[in-house]
Amino acid sequence: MSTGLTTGATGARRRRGRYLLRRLGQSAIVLGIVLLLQFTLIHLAPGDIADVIAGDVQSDDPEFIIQLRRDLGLDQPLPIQFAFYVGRLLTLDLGTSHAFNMPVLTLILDRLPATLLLMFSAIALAFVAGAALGTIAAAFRGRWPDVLVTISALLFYATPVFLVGIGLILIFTVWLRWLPMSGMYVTWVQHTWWSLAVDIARHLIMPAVSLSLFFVAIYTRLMRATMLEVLSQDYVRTAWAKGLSPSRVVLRHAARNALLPMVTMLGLQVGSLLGGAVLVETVFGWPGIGRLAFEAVFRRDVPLVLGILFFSSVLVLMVNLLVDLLYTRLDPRIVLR
Amino acid sequence: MAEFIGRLFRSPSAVIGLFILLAVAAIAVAAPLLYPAGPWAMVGQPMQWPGQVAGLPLGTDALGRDIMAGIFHGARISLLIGLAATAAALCIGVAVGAVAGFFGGWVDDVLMRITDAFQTIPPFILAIVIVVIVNPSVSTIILAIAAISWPAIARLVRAEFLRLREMDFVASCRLIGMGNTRIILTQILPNALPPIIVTASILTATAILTEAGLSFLGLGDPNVISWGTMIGMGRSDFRAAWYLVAIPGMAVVLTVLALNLLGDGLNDALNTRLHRRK
Amino acid sequence: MTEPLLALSSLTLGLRMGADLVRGLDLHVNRGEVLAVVGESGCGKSMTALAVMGLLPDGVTRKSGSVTLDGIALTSLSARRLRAIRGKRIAMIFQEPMTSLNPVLTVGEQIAEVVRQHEGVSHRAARARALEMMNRVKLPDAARRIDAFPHQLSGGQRQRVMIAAALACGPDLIIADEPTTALDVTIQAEVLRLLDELRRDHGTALMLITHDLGVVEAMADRVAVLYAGVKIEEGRVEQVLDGPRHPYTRMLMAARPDADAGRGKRLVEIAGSVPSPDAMPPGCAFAPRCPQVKPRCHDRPPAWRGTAEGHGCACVLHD
Repeated sequence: MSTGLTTGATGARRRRGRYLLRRLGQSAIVLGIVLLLQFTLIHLAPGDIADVIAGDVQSDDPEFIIQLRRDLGLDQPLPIQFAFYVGRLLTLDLGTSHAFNMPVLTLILDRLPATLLLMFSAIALAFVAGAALGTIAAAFRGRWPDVLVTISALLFYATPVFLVGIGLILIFTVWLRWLPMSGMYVTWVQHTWWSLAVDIARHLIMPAVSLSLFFVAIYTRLMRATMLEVLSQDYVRTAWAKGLSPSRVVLRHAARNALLPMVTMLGLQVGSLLGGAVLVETVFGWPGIGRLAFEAVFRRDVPLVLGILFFSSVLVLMVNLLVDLLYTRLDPRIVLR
Repeated sequence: MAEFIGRLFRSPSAVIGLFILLAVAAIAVAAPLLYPAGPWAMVGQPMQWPGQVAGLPLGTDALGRDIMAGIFHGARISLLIGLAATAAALCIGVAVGAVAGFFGGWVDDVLMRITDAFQTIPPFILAIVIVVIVNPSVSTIILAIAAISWPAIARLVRAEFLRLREMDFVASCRLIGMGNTRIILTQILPNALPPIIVTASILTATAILTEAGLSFLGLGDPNVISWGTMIGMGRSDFRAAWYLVAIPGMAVVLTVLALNLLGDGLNDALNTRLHRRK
Repeated sequence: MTEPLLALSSLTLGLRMGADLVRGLDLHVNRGEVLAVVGESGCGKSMTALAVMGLLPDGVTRKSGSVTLDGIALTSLSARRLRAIRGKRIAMIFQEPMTSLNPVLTVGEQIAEVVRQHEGVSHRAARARALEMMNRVKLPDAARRIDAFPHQLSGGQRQRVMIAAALACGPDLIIADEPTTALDVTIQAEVLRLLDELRRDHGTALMLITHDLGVVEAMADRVAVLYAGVKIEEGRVEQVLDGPRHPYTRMLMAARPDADAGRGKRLVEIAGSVPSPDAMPPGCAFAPRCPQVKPRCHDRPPAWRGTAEGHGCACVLHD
C-alpha cells in the first residue's frame, strides 16, 4: 500500500474487462433461470397456442388443431420444446405475434424507443428531485423544510401511479387545458423535427411526472438517510475546519459521497419502473412496451408475452451491469476483482 | 414487550398509522352489517355527487351504486389481499432466506440465483402474466403478489441469518447438540424478526398498491369490488365526476400511508436498521 | 507582556441539557510557541480544541467564557466571519488521517480547496500551491500523487496531506489533536518532526493535544495539564516536567516509562478512574484518586496559585 498508486491504465482496463466477462457470465445464468421460469409459467396455462389460434380462425376441426400442434412443435416433450425455444431466442427469433400478425421482435423494437424515453425521463427526474429534496431535508434536519419534504415523500410513496396520472389529466388537461391528454405526438399535422420534439416533450411531461413520483419518494428518503450519515463523518468535520461555506461542505463533500448508494438504487428500480410503465402507458395512451404487454396479455398472445418478458428481463440485466460499471467509475475506492 | 409497546406509542407516526389502520379494519368488519345488500346494489339515481342526496354521503356511480358501500366492501378485499399476500410471501421468503443463509455454499448459490431471476422479471408485469394465465380471482391475485414479493424477504432473511449464524449463542447451541432445524426455528429466527416485521408492513402496503393496479387494469376478481376496481370503473367518467376516482383513490392512499407510517414507527421502536451499510 | 495570540478565558463547555465537560478553563497560546495540552482521554482536551474552531458536536455547547484570537472574540463572531478565520488563520489537524480525508476527492483537490476558499485564486494557481505544499511536507513523487485518492496513500502520507492542507494558507495557529496517535510508531516521530520544522519556518503557533509526555518534552514550550475538564497545572515544559507540583502531574510522570525508552510510549493508566461529568465531586476532582488527599480537598475546588515564573497549579498543597 505504501508504494501507493495503482498500476497503470492498461492494468485497470484488463481488470475491467475480466470483471465485465464475469458479470456477463452471471447475468447469462440468471437469464437462463428467467427463461425456464417464463416457459414453466406459460405451460401452466390451460390450453395452448394452438387452441388460441384455432379460436382466432374460428376452427374446431380436430385435424386442423393436431396439424397445428405438430407445426408449432407442441407435440414434442417439454424439455425439447424448451431447448427449441432457447435456441430460437439465441438467434433473436422471438416468433410471431398472432394478435398483431407481425414478428414479435419488430413489434417490441417499434415500441421500445417510446418506453425508453418515458423511463429515462422519469428516472432522471426522480434522481435529480430525490437528491435535491433529500439533501434539503438532511441539511435542515428537524426543521420545517425537513418535515415538509418527509411528508411529501410519504404521500408520493403511497399514491398509486395511475391515480397521479388521472389527477394530472384532470388538472392540466380538463381544467387548465395546458397539456395534451394522451398519445405521444399529434398525428394530423406535418411536423418539422423541432416541432415534433416540442410536441413529444409536451406529451411526455405528465406521463413522466406520474411515473416518477413514486421513485422521487424512494430517492428522497434514501438521500436524506445517507446524507445524515455522511454529514456526521470525520471528513465533513475537516471540511468545516477548512472554513468552507455550508453549500460547499454539503454539495462538494457530503452529497458526492451520498450519491453512491443512490446510483446502486438506480439499477434496482428498472424492474418496477417497467411495471409502472404498464399503468402509465395505459392511462396516457403512450405507445410503449408497457401498453403492448397489456394488450398481449389480454389477447393471450403467448409469443408476444414471452417476448416482452424476455426483453424486459434482458433490459433489467443490462441496466444493472451498466450501473455496476458506472459505480466503479464513481467510487475510486472500488478495486475490481 | 411492554417496553416495545411503550416505545411504539411514543412515535407519532406509529400512532397515526395504527389509528388509520384500525379505522380501515373497523370499516371492513362493519361492511356486511351496514351494507348487507353488497356493493353491487343499485340504490339511487346514477352520478349523484357526494352530499347531494341524504343517505348517500359519498354519492353514487354511473350505475347508481352507493359509493360508500363500495368503499366499505372494498376495504375487505384490499386488506384481505394485502395481508394474505404478505403472509404467503413471508412463508416463501423466510424459508428460502433461512435455508440459504444458514447452510451457505452451493445451496445458497442456487437459491440466490433463483431469487435473482425472480427479481429480474419486472414484478408488476410478472403479476399481470400470472393473473391472466391462471384467470383473475382473489386467490390468484394473492398468489401473483406473493410471487413478486417474496424475493425481498428472502434477501433480508438471508442477510440476517448470515450475520446471526456466526454469533456465539448459535455456536453454543451446536455444542449442546441442538439440531439445525431447531437452531433455525428457535434460536436464529426470533432474533431476525424485528427487520422482518418492519419489512412485512411495507410489503403489505406494496401489495395493496399492486392489487389496486391490477384491478385498475381490469384484472381484478370480477366477482368482488376493490378500491382499484372502483377507480378503474370511474376512469371513463372522471372528467364529469372526478369524485368517482378521488374517493376510492383517497382510501388507497390513506391505507398505504398508514402502513408505511406504522413501518417507520416499528422501525424506530425495534431500533433496526433496514439499510445496513459498511 | 505582549497580548497572547489565542486566549481562552473561563471557558465552560457542556451537554446542552446536562453535565459540564470543561469547566472555567483559562488558556493562552503566544505567537510562534507550542503549547501542549495533556491529560487522560475524556478530560476535555478535544472538546476544547473543537470549541476554538467553533465546531462543537451536536448536543455540546459553550455555556460561558470566551475564545479570543489576536484580539478578535471568536465566540461572538457571525458564522460567516468565523468561516473566514477557520482554515485561514487557525487550522486544525485531526487524529484519524484514515477518515479525515474525503474518499472521493483527490488529495490535491482537498489541499487546493482551502486556498481557493480563502484567497480566491484561480483553479490553476491553487493546484500549483497544493503541489508546492505537497513537496514541503515531503510527499515523495508529489507531482503524481496530487491526483491520487486518499485510499491510495498510507496513514503517514495522509497525515502529511492533512498538514499540507492546514499550512496551505499560512495560518497563525495550528491545533493538532493527537496527530500521530493513529499512526505506526515508527513514523510518529517523523511526522511530528516535519510538523515542528514547517511550523518554525512559518512562525506558526501550535496547540498540541497529546497524552504523550515524550512528545511534550521534545516539542512544546509550555504545557497545560487537564483533569476532568479542569486545568490543574500549567507552566514551561522544563518547570512542569522537572518539578511537577500537582499530585496528578507527579503521578503522570511516575507512570511514565523511563524517559529515554519512553519516547512515544503511552501513559500507564493510574489506579481509579476519572469521575464522570455528571458525578463530579464537590471539591477537587482528583481527590478520590489522590494519594495525598486532605479532608478539606473534598469541600470546595482548590484555587489556582501561580508563580512569578508562570508556573501555576490548582492544589491545596500549594496554598
